[in-house]
Amino acid sequence: MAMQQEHQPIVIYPDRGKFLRANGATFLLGGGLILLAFTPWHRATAVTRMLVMLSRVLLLLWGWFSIPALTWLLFPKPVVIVNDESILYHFPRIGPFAFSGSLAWEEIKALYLGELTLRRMSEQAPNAFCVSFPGTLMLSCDPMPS
Amino acid sequence: MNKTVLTMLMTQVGSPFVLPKAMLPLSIDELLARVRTQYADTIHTHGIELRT
Repeated sequence: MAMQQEHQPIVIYPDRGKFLRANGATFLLGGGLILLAFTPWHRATAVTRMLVMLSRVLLLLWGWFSIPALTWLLFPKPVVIVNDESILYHFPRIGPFAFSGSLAWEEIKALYLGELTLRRMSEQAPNAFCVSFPGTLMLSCDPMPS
Repeated sequence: MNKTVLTMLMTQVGSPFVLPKAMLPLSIDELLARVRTQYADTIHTHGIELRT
């Protein structure tokens, strides 16, 4: 009778400092919008009032997209869990978009390091950990050069 | 809409699973090495290709 070997799961929590640094500009933008949105209304000129209204709308949009990430930083959940059944990944929601999910080992065709095509032009090193489904076209997630 | 975006992402990236290194406390090489080492038998059992 074959014995199924149990492994200690690999549980990786996000690096908050790294995540904050990578998204610093976005969070600073939110801070700026908050300051602008709460500018005293009664002393503002017509142009300033328009800017304030615009910043309030943008702040709502910013909050919709960024607050899940901020909450995720305050109450971190594992970003990756690898166990005997599957690889699970948890990514904070970005507005209406949820990228979390899991892949059972049976569904995985390959494991490799790849580069995202939407990367910064200056970044040449592999910058993503990818898993592919069988039959999936590997269009842009190129294997790391050996 | 979420499915549309995910499909677009998958077409662009070629993978439904992408972990940006900016989120991880360890390098992606280390993560892959850990998975490869710790789950070598699972990877072998399911015939998963390890690309280098």
